[in-house]
Amino acid sequence: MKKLALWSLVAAVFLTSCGGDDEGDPKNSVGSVFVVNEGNFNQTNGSITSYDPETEEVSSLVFQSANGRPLGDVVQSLFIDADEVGYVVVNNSKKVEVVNADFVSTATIEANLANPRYLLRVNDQLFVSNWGTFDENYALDQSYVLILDAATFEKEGAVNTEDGTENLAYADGYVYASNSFGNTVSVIKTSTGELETTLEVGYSPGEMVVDADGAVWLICGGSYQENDGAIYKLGASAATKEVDLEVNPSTRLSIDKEQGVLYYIAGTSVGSYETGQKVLKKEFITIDDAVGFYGLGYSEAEDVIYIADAKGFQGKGTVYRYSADGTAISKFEAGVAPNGFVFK
Amino acid sequence: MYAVGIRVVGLVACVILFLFNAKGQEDAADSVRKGEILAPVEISDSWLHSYAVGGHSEQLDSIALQRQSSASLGKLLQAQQGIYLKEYGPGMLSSISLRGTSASQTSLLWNGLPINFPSLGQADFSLIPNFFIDKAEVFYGGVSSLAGSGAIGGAVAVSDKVDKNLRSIGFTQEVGSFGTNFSGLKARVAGEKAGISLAGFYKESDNDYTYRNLAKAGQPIERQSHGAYMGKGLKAAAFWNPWSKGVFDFEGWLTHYNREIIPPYTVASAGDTQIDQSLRLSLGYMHRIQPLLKWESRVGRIYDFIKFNGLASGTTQYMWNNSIEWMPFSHLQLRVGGLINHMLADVPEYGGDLSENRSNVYLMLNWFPSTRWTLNAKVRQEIVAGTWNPVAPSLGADVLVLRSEAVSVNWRSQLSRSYRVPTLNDRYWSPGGNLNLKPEQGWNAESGLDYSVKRGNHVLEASVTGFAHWIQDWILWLPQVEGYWSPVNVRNVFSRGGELSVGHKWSVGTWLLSNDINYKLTVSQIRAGYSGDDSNIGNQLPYVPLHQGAWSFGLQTEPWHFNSQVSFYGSRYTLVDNDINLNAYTLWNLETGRQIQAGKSLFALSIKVDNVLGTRYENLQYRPMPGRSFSIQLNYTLNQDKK
Repeated sequence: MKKLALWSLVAAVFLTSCGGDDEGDPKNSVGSVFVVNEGNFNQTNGSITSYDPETEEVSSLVFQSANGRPLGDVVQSLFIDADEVGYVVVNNSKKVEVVNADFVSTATIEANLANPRYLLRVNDQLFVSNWGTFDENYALDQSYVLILDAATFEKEGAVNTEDGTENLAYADGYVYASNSFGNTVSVIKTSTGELETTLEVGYSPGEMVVDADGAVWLICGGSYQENDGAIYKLGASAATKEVDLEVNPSTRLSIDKEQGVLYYIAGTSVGSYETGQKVLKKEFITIDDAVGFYGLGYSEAEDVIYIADAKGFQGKGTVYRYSADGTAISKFEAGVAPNGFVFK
Repeated sequence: MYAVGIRVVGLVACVILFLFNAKGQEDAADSVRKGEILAPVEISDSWLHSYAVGGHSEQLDSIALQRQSSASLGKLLQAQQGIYLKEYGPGMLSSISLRGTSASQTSLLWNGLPINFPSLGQADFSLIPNFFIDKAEVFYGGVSSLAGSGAIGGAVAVSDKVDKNLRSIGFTQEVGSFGTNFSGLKARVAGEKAGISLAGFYKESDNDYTYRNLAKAGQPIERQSHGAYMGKGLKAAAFWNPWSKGVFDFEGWLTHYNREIIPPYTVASAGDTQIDQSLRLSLGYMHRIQPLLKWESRVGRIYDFIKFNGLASGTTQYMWNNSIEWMPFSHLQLRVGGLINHMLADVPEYGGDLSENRSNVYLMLNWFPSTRWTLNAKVRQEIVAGTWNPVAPSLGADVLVLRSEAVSVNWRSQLSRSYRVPTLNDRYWSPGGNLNLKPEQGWNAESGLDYSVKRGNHVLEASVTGFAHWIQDWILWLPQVEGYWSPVNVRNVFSRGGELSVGHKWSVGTWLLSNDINYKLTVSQIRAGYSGDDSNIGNQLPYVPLHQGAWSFGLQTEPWHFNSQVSFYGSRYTLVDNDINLNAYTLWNLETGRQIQAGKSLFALSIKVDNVLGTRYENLQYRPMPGRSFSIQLNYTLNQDKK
């Protein structure tokens, strides 16, 4: 509640600061839920949508409204650190926009980035996963995790990983990086900034979440048309397959930390896995008139599951809100190709 | 293919033998509309116009084609006809949209043969050089019965002709802004029985124009650093009249383009390049079996090669078109025939070489119940890889409502069904290719009036057309539950609107003033779709401007001419959700020049200013276009025999 009050204040300041000019844009308040809208490749229609669960107010194009320019091409991910600094990773524009709580850009990081994907702050360092550059035959040169000073954005190191380095997670002194073109996870020791080990997992490893006990959970999409997606449990030295999903899921994973329940998406269904009881529900939620789920998030503050339908990537997507018991609450309109959520 | 090559070599050799025997002779009688069947000068696709009864078509001004010879057909369609093309940058991919349909729903015909890329289904109008074209005509509406697959929004037909009894050689050199150069050479030698025309061009541009980067703080002016391109081409066209009853015609185009692909300015350091190479060969023979009965046969080989960065793909189409044109009675003209298209594709994503046969048969009738009436019926049946498509019929009527010495009023109407066979990508791309796709289908109704009046020194021509298109089974690639994308027949679209054109010519003494106005209204909306389309029902299709038009003004007094072209494109939505609307823009181009005749030599010098006002505009969002640009062109022609 305190947080909400703070944000209301921030919103109020933002509104006031915008009050004087007559740009005619709808005034945006920034809510506590952020939707990352990837946009279409080369069409630069990616954006951040904010949603306030209290007022149900939706603000689209949050970055564009605050900065008077588009965010960029293929908005891959957003990370908000404990200081409420936001980092928007813009893949095809090969940059990270650093924003304050009002989404006003305070810096743009471009150096040493090549198809950046995800960002994570650990203490005073930023870890940024990069696919690297493609050659003319679309083979990747070298994927890597870039390490930056969180204050100056100066390069402090880089760890070569394996092809298609995607999602990042931090637990207990290690950063885990999933290498999505193959079947490995690179483990980086944060104290040294060196590669500790490379874990073998299923094919197409994707998003990772950390549970209340500090264990890292990973979803693997599996091989093309093999229906061999799986959830893995990772430690710094070992990876074990926890459960076969018997589909090729999207590589999104969310967690209800308190209950130890993992959520994933496949087609127009949300599946759940109770890590304690080891119970898999493949169709925990199914929305028949959806087209295809593309993003997933779990709001700990509300105990609400957020599900994004990209609706065929032809226009704006839809976000469905479901309670943790699987009942529909509401829905709202997101931007183009919503791929994930960040909760304040 | 080898056989075709040998025949071509033989033909060219014969033509050369004839070249210097040629004697200027009187042309045969003028061709009259009904009697085009008797016309001695063969334009390979003139039958298209004869059977386009009831529909709206516009022929591009041949003088404009000449004056814009260094440009692409896409540029000319925009500047002269006010047709909106999606342009990914100057010199970049240009895809057409007629009557609110998609780029693959317009068929590009070359010598009557369909030349859209079989893999993509569309044509790139930036790769069609005006330098090689003598005639271009736009057929609006669902004209599949006339032009075959893909002609749902319309068809654009380009062709070349070799005039008889003419020997000329010409050279064109143009230099312009942004390091743009064009050099072209043309030679024509023709007698009564044979003729050949050769042309070649080379074009290059640094394309380093400046633009405003709206995506950066402060919106700085930046210079395009990745848009250089070059294009070159060779053309040969020939006819040979070995005996009075038959004539051969040949045309071959070899074009090669190498382009740095301009990225949106929001994309950092994209270094994409693309090579496009096409070899198009067409050999036709027309035989007059009886005075009013002729047989036409045409073989074509269309080879298209695209290399995007390191990814190469090629397609080859072997076409054979046979038709009989007959006037069994003085009031009836008919054409019956068939086209066989054997497609070969070497596209890595298809999983190896593949071939597919697409054939169609057609019947076209023109009935002239009186001197004022022309009634038309056509039907075409396409068979794709053994599967019969829905039949495409059409009915049309032209009625001369009023005809006096000075005034004529013509009413026309057309009802037709059109179709588009799924592309090779739609059918064979792995993963996702869908062999169960149905063809896209359209029903098209239209009606219009043509009015012309001549009074004193004034000639006024006006035409107005209203149309309605219902398009079903529109194909979209959508993500599937299995995790990959696949094309599906999901959307229904209702497009309606109108086209208005007014042309006025006024001659005063040695002066000729002309004004031409084109305007198009297009309301193209989604009527039904897949479940995710629900919120888009009733929305305008993306990149279909509601309003578009052009105004050309010309002033001429020998040896001077002056032209002004203004084209206007209304706002366009970027996506079907109709959330973001790009600004309308107006472009103004000026051109002036003079000719100097010195004996048999003709010099023509002209200066062009494109985008006179330096309008900063985006045809596609975040894809910058150039501001003001200049060019100067020198043309030299030596005419040995004046016609």
